[in-house]
Amino acid sequence: MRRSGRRRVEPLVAAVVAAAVVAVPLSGSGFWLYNLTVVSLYATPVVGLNLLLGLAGQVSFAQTTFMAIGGYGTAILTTRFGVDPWLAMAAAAVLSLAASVVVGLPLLRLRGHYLALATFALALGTTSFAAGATTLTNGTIGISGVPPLALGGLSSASPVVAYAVSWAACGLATVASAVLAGSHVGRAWRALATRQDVAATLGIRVTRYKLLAFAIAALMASVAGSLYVEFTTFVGPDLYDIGTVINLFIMLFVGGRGSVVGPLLGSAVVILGPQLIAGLEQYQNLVFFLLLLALLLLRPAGLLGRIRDPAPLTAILPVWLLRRRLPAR
Amino acid sequence: MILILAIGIGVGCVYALVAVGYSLIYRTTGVVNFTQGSYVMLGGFSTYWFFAHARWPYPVAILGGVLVATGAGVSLWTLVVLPLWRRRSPPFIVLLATIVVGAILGNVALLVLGTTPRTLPPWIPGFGLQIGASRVDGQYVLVLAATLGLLALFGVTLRASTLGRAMRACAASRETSALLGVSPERMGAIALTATAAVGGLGGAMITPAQFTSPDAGLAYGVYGFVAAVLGGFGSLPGALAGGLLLGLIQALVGRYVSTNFETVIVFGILLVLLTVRPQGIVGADWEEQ
Amino acid sequence: MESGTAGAGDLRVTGLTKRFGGVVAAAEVSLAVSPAGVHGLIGPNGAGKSTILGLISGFLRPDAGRIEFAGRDLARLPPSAIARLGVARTFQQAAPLAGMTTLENVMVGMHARYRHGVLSVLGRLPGLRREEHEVRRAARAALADFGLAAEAEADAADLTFGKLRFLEVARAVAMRPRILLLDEPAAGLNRVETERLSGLVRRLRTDGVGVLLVDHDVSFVFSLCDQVTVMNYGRVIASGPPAEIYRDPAVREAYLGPREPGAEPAR
Repeated sequence: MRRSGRRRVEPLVAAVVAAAVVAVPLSGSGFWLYNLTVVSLYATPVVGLNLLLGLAGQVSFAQTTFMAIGGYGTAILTTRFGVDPWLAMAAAAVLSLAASVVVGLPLLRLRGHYLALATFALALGTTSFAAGATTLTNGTIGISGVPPLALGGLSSASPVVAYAVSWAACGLATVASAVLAGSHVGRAWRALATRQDVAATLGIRVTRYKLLAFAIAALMASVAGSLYVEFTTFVGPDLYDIGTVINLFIMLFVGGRGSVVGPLLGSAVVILGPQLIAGLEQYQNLVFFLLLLALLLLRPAGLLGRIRDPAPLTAILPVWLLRRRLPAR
Repeated sequence: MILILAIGIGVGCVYALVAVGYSLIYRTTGVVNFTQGSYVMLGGFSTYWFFAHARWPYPVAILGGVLVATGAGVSLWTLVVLPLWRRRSPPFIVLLATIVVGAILGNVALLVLGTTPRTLPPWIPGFGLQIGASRVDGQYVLVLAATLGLLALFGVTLRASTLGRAMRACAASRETSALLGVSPERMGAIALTATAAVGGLGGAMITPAQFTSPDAGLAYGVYGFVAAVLGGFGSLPGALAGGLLLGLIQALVGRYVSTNFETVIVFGILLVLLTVRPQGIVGADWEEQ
Repeated sequence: MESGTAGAGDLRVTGLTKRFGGVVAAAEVSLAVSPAGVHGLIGPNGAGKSTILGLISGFLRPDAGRIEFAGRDLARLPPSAIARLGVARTFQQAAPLAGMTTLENVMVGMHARYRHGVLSVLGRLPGLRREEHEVRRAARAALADFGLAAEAEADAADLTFGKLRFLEVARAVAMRPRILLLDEPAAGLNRVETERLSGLVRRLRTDGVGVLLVDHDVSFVFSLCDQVTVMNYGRVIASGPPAEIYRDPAVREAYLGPREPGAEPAR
């Protein structure tokens, strides 16, 4: 049956991913080391988004806002106040959590399109704020010289250390997300995503659960944002522009919403895809977008996602064409 | 000051045209079409290409520009939205697909004409309006007149004609309309064609007054969307109100407050509006249930 | 005309009024649901029965009147708070949680039983493991009671109509409510299924649950209820034991009259 088929694919993909993650640093390839680090650092906010949108059904474009708080928070605290990078990351995370509650309380009262639009406004507003508030953020120039993380004797200036830390974070986020999804908390989220009114009549504190998902997603985004800035030693408003906002969603949907490994796969496709066709130079973006479109058309559920009652591919054809092909009864 | 207002109104009109596109397509098909802004860009850019490269006479070039935009709209419908619709894809996938198409169109424009912003000659050379001490570029007046005319035309068609009634039926309920013999697919195609054409015309009209660049599609798409929500998504007069309001706010804030914070303020206003009055100025509720 | 004996565990509705624009959906409605009692609420379409249920369960705010239960006024509370006080309801249109299995649907009904929260989930605490195990076991038992054991792993949205209705009730009962509001549970059920439903409602009564039963099937309502309230045009036109209601001329005219021959109870 189709459903069990998919269930067997996922663990297989997870195993392959895990094997690849371990093998890469051993291979010594600088290219793959760097790119897979980036993949994991983008996958982490998408894991959060998967939980918020895929599980709890809240459409939020605001992940980049929390990535920005994490990134800029870390950069400002370390370069301007000499705070230890780990502490700075923790402080930024706490700030993100607080911000998510403050912002979430009014916003999460909105539903569907309104929520999407409000969080979209928040995300784009964050970018312009980062570009405009020059005293705080250095505007479009950005902040550079962010010191690396120190881990015992190791420093994240070393690509292998950065790789290990980012994949550790991503792995932690993925496991946490999977554990929550399978628990009664996950069921409560799925209930309020399907029928909020029914969930309320079953005694589920809807607002509290929405905020919970929002905060967890914000935390994941913040940590990923902090780590990214640590490893590239630079932060600027372009990191969180509309392109990133859209990218996160493309990663989510390419990988398949609701799937555990989906965010990783989606991130890999979006980050590595253009690299693999880099030879096409100026046509690179165009080809990538065309391939993306083809994927969306052929597999609307994404690579690992599922849709209830998907229509077969032939449904694309217009009705009059199909009618000719049906056998006479 | 007058000049600022003129720019605000001019750009605001284009936002209004884009906003109308969003509302009309959403009401008829339930799809939020993020390529709306790209039609504006295509209209301006293709007109430029026909005029400057193919050396067509100016009016023909303008027509060509509008046709290119319309063609893009039709292609989007048949090649992207319809297949997704027929496969009963979640609406979010359709939205994402339109965003990707918008990116594709922007990329194509980039490859063909490069990154330099382009402009066009004014439609009526030398036409300008003297208001007080300032001389307002006549193009803005044309844009305003055309926008008002087109919106009035849309409004009348939707209210009074059979086609309009069919479209409104589709907007109310897709299944019921299908049962009554109205094809939602055809209504969607008509809506998309009309809004793409109008968007393209808007692009051709505003480019003489402002520059157009390949990534303008995204900007118009986002701001047009904001305008639609400001005015009340799904409402035609709301689209006009929202568009003009947004254009004016942008122009005024950019001039008198700071260009740095212009976008922040716009989005801040939107955020506050959504929390306080999500239905927008005119107030049409666009939740599908 | 108050019905039932006054008791501490009662859900007591007094003078409930709700207007929608110019339409008075409910006017000065009063009734009481006692624990281990079944109170029927009948009336023609549009009489205001669903409005009353909506008001009690917190989806509507009354314009006047009080809803007292467990020493609180429910009129000011949001639906989830009312549910947590022990008032459960089913929906007129079956509302299965699609995308979740039948078993999961019932388990969601047991959500309030969990004492552990997010941190326990992440910490994989053994106490939570026990709770989860217990809930799963209880949910399976509930499914068996309601004849849904075979469909435990099926997507709830794929259930047949009759089974959907039973799932509605099973899910609400899973909350171990003190008061249960049943919104037309027998609608569309055949004879056999209705019998089964009656048995389940009687079981609830034995378990001490107070039931407010709204339905169009008058024989079903009369056979189960100790008290019946009849509404028409938003007002209570009669209230009392079924035998009295059956004989009340105002009720006959409004509801049991010749315009609805199918509603005559089979006696």
